[in-house]
Amino acid sequence: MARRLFSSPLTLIGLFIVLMIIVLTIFAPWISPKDPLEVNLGQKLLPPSSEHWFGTDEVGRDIFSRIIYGTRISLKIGLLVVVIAFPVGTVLGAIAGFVGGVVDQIIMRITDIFLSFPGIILAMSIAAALGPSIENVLLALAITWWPWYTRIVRSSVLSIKNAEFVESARVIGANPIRVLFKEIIPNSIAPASIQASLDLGFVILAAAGLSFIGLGAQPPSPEWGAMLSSSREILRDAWWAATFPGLAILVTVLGFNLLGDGLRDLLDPKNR
Amino acid sequence: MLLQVKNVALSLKREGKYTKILDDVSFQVEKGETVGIVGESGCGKSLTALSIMRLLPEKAKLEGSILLDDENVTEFSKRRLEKVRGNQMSMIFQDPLTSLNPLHTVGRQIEEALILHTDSNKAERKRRVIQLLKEVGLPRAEDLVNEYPHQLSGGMRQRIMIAIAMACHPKLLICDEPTTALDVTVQAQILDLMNHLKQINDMGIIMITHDLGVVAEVCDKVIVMYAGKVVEQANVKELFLNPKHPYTKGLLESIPKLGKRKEKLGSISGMVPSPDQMPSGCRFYDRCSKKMDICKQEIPPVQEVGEDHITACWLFKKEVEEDDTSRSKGFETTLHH
Repeated sequence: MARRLFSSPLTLIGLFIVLMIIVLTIFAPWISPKDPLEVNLGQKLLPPSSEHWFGTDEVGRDIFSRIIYGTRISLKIGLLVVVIAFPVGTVLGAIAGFVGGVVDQIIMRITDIFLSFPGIILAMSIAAALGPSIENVLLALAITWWPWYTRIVRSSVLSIKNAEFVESARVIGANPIRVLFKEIIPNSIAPASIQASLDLGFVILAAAGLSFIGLGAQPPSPEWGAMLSSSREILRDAWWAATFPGLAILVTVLGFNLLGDGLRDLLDPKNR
Repeated sequence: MLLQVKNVALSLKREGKYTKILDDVSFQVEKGETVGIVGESGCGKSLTALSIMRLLPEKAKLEGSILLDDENVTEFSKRRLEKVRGNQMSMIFQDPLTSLNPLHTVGRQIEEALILHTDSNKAERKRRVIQLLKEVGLPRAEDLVNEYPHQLSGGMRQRIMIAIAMACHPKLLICDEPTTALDVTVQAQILDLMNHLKQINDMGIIMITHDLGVVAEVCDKVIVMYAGKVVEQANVKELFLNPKHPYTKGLLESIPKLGKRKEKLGSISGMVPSPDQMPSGCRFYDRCSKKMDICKQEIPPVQEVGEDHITACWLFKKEVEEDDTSRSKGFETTLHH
């Protein structure tokens, strides 16, 4: 399994990027050369140099340090949204597929309601209603993300709920709840967990988007979307202030996508 | 009497209306007895088994009574059924690969039955699992406990299934084509093992199969089913030597015999009628080589045609018996050639 994972260079790049982000997140205070929030008006809008690798912004903060600290915010949002949405979506999807009938109809119609709006618009309206803050963005994204897992898990539950090993478990006297959690869910979460690894990137992108339009992290915070937003007006004079946060978002999303794709290929039985 | 199935009828909901799948099925299983249920695909063998286990779809309608140790299974509550399944009666399926959960170790899956039905602690369960693996004839039981189903061969997997089924010493074991997915040499080993376990535990076995070779090898009594009805029932010897129902005869003629050169193997033309298009008279009418006018109009009654030998066919109705004895004698003489 490990050898097949490493045989794909793209997956390796993805893995490397993700590992790098994790390292930056954990060791941010040691790696970053400056305090990300330290204002120094005497050194504002300096271009990249050996002193400030990525330059400084309109109030003289070191952009390199801010981007490193920004990994903390982005990774936190990505992980928490998936950690909240994934179990909720999985359990609801498994119940819908396993129980069927009216319960299935109710759960699936609710997911339809959520999926009938474009995710980012729905997240925007929820975040706007709750008020701009990073926690509310997190909540808004979790609310818009779970129905995807519900759909995926439901369809895999439907395909395995009549498997003979499920019947075998019933034959030895397991009750339906035990069958659901011990036999059915473990055997049907693989596709949804691949989706979750891909989603980490998309959640980070969506969170940056919401912060960019002012619904998420607020200015002093070194959040990438917020940094992009505040550097919009000075783009013509200081290209570095917007470019590096944008690149950080790009690289992060790319990393999670490459890794997710690699995992999908790895777990796809057709590729064995 | 271990199991008494009396006048069981089963209807399943299809496209909004109920269709009768099983009709008036009755038979008995004694302790230490193996009862074979034979018939073509789609004749209701497996549904008979699932009715006994009460593992039917939600909307199934089950009539009649199924007495396990004089208690009516059809009246059990869901909770009661969960206590009985795996404990007093258990079941083995056709394909041992798909019957095992690919994500759990073999030991974990055998242990499951013990967790559900006994109060034993972890160490006791582990000891019992290893003992069970040895009982079903698997080598290196201690290592096997930690292996996954895909690491084992088909025969070994079926032994694991038997170990799971036997974990709580059931009184009744239902085997739904347990050897169909296995190769011939392994088949014989599995059947021997089942016979052995039956004798040790004094349990009753229901062996569902379409392989008459399996029936001849392990069964004491045979039930022949056709289109949801029992058409003939007799002990093994009687059935093989003296089959009465034209369907049973057809089944027996379709087995190749050693040392007998035949131009063409016997076959029964046609298909089992679908449950919603059952003929009003005998269900075998369209395919029967000995059909009479009455067969089309009226359902043949169940008659005794020998010691513990019953069949549902108009050929053996008292009024036509005279005519029939000569015919069956003629048949016997051809059999002895």
